[in-house]
Amino acid sequence: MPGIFHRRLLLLLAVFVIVAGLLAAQLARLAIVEGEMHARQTETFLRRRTFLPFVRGRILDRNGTVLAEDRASWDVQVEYAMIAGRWSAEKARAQARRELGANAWAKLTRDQRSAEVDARLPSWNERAEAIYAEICVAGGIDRAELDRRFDEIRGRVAQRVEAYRERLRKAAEAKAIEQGTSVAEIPEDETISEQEEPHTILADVDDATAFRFQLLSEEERDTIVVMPATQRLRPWAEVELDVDRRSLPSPLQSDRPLHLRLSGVADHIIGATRTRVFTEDLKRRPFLDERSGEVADLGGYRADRDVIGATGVERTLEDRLRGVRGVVERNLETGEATRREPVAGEDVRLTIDIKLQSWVQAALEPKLGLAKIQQWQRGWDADGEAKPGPLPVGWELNGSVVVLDIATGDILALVTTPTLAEASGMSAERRRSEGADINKAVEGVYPPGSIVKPLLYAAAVTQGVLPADLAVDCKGHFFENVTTSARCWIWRPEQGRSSTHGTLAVEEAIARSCNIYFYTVASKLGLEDVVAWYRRFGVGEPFGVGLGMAKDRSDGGVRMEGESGGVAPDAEAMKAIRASGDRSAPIFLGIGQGPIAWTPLHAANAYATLARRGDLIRPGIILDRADRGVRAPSTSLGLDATAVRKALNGLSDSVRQTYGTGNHLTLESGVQEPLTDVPGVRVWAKTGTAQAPPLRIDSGKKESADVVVRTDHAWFVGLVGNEREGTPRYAIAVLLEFGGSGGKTAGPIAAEVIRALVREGYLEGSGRKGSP
Amino acid sequence: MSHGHEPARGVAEGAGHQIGLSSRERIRWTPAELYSEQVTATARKRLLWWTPAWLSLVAALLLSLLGIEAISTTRPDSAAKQGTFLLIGLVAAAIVATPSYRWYRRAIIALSIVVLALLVFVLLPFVPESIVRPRNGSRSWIALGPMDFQPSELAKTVYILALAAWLSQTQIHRTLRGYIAVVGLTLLPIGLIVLEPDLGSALLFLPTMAAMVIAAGTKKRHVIASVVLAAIMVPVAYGFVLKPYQRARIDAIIAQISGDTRFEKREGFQGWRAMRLVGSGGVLGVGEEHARALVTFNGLPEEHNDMIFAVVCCRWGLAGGIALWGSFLLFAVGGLATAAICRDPFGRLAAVGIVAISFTQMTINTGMTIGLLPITGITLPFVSYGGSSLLATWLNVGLLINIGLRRPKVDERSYLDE
Repeated sequence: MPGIFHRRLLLLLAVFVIVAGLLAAQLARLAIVEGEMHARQTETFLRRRTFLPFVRGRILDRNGTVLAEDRASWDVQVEYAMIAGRWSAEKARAQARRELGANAWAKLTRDQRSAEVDARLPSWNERAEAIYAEICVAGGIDRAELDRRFDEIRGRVAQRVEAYRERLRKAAEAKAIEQGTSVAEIPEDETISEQEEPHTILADVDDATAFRFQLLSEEERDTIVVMPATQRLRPWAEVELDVDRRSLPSPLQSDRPLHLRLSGVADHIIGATRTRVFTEDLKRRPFLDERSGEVADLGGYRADRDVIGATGVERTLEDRLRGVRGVVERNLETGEATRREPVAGEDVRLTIDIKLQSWVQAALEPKLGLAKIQQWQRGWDADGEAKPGPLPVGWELNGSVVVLDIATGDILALVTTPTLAEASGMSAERRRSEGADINKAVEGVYPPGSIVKPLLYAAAVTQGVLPADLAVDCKGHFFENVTTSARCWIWRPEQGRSSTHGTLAVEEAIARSCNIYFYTVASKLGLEDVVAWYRRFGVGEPFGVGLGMAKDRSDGGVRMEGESGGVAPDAEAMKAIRASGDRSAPIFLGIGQGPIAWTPLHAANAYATLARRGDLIRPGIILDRADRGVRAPSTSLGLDATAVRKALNGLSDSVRQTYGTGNHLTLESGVQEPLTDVPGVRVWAKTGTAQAPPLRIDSGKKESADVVVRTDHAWFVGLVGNEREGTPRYAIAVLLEFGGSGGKTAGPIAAEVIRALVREGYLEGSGRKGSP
Repeated sequence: MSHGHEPARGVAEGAGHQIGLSSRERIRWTPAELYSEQVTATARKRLLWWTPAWLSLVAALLLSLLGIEAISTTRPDSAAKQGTFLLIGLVAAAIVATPSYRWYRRAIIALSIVVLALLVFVLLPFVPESIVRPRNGSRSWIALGPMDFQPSELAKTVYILALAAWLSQTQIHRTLRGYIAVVGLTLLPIGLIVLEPDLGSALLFLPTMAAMVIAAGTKKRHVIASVVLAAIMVPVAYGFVLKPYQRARIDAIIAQISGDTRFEKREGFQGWRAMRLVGSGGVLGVGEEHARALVTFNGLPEEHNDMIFAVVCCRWGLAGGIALWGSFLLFAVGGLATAAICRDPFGRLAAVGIVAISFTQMTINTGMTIGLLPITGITLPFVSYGGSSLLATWLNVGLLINIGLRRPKVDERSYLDE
């Protein structure tokens, strides 16, 4: 039996053994149980991955013209220490420390240290000057400019620092008040990230310059950083062209072409990219897995900065345009590297012909004079006096044009004004009132007005409720004893206009746009069938041409964002109309008024459908989409051939016969000028004047109230083809918001669109152009 | 003059040197009795004596060589320097082992005053930075030309000697008042070192004191009461005494132990890195080359110093860790056996103290490396790089050998055996 002291020693030894045992148990757990997991983690630090940027796919027009492409470009950045002028001091200090050794350095007093630093400072100052000089030479700027840029950055950073310190002060004060203590001191040496980061001095430099700077940065560390800054180029965003003014309405005619500079050509279609990344992007396609921090998708989005399609095709075709990053994985221990090349994004071809698009935008350019209120639209009275109008002469109009290839459903041109570029300087309120942010061609909804007349006629004949050769007697009003509503537009006895159309066949009814004929058509079809035919022609559903994004609706349905389906009454609404006992409401739908609205694309597509005798082809803006040009006979409307022929004849008469609404403009002192007489071209067209909501005009003065103007939207929708062929090739829809009379405002623009088609070779005799 | 065969127990006459007090009896030895053989024996003869302290020496040598090899993994230059430090340490240990340790006991008052003065000196605000250069915000180093020196290292050894002297002088620590006085004595160096601040070094004193008072036979209930009190103090200290960064470290270690990786990139960075490197070593380690790459590219801070155990485990795996702890146990067995064989209460307690402080420091250091304890800046004795710390630990080895080589007669009995 050992003595008591020895027993105590044994106790201590036992404690030591137990402690060592516990430690060993933990080590065994780490090494054996979790060993592999920890090894995996630590091994990751031996691999350094760098990601190689990919090139975003190009956007091309139907002829292969580049509309948007990435161009490699570089930003040259300078470390803030250089900008702030503390670089040489930092370098001198590091050098002194290195030369003296860390221990010796640690023993020096502050004064001794600054003496050591000062001794080495001049050579570093010289080095810095040499680098500044090289930046100036390589960047093509002079020293004063470099200093100015440095000053600018210093000023900006100083502001940030002040703002940050202000925030800290506020927070400290708030805390002091909350806790009832005194305000804590803000540490003086606290820095913000901008004080540690490099800043861009030369933006968007080419490869050769970037390479020079790269060499410079490798020669002297902590000076320069060359950052990839790929630019998205849109060579057609700005277009300059000369418009021949000899064929314009005579008040605008001139022998000298008008030089126009168009901005934002097709920018509603092509769209733009953004570099800000939203949570929904990260949710949809993250680059890094949120929890593990591992790479989840090499093509995914980075939280800090990425290039993402924001609008237009850039947005809707984001997944095709976007590429996949490459990876270089270097093993730091062995120096071995594996390289996976980046995959460029896919090129996308649009159905748009960018030249045609430009000409069409030129026609809609108010500077040309067509998209403006002109006196010829208001007319002159019998005494030759200029009639007043709701909007002043010279008032600029916004509008939209769609040109559709009938055989394929390709959208050749799709213009909306103002363009995004034109709207970029506008106030938010003005953007809203001008509808600048919506693509009016596919998102703007307007009542169709008279342009539906031939469609409903063909529908009624196909339905069998109307004989194709029906003649109707226009007495000025539809209902027997009612003279105040459901009248023909020509009949305004209270204004002294009491002439009527008399007895009309359908061709003349279309050409003259007689309301009474089409009230009759609508009344024969009945409310439900009129609405059903509208729907068959596409109202109520967006086409999905490639400009909209399907979004899940809260009620479980799908909503198309960026494209509109228009408006048609649903069963409920129709029941309400019936219940109201209003007899005129159903028949108004026959002339495109009432609870019905569509987009310019719907109008063009409906006319293309008519030209195809009812065959439905989904229009589209992406050239290589799978369903391009596919006819869907099973869903063909199977329009009656005779009815289609008669309707087309009516449309033809509308422009050919002098009584046709689309035939001519009447200018001052009664001079008539043909509207669409382009040599070699056959036109089938219909004008439309559709009720517009009240237009509120800011009087410009604070004291006076806004002026509210009642006027109409102007439509001109038609089909064009080669004169000799005699069949339509393209459908055109022109809409001028608040343009008033369709023929007089939208007509001349349609004529310019037709001339543009001719100019671009679309209406030559030898078959259709531009269908690859 | 009788020695040896006279019962040690019993009352000796004459101008005895009173070494212990008990209510029942007094033990007196004359100086001649105490120092006869040891003083007269030649150094050469003494070196041939078998003493368990040689075990501790072997263990310390093994650990030091292991340390040099581990340091060379990432820092060959530092390893070479450490080799020089080791030689200096060995010489210093030999010097310390030469005069009888009882002389240190006589000089204990002077030594204590010197150490306390140095501990106060580093805290004086007007001392120029060329003499006391703050490192990592802590004023704990005195610049001495070729090798800087940390008064707290010296304080550890002097504290052990002082406590051993006191506990062997009286048995007052068996009363509550005496026990509290011992704790008070311990709080003096702790307080000064905490002020530097060097919390890690300060942490070593209480476990060392505990080991020594237990060996000296303090009352069980006092020890238990202390443990209970300490357990109560922990949450109180956490809530009211610790600074936010210290609290964050505790939070981090609790999270780390429970496998919660929340703090891995922040407060727990160093701990996680070390722990993962330790785990990466597996059972037999990854070898020198790969260990170098892993340690370097994982960016483990202080890898040659406080974190050297992570390098040991990464390079030699579980086997390396077990070997290291085995060496420490060998060191402890040697030291405790030295204490057991020694008949002089002062020598006994000093040996226990030396073992306890080394083992405590090892436990805290390796514990933090394998993710069981929060990170404190404390070196692994014998293994970590650093002249000052290596010298201090080798001074202790010298002291242990000193005690081992100066055994009183076999049949002497210490009052500690009662």
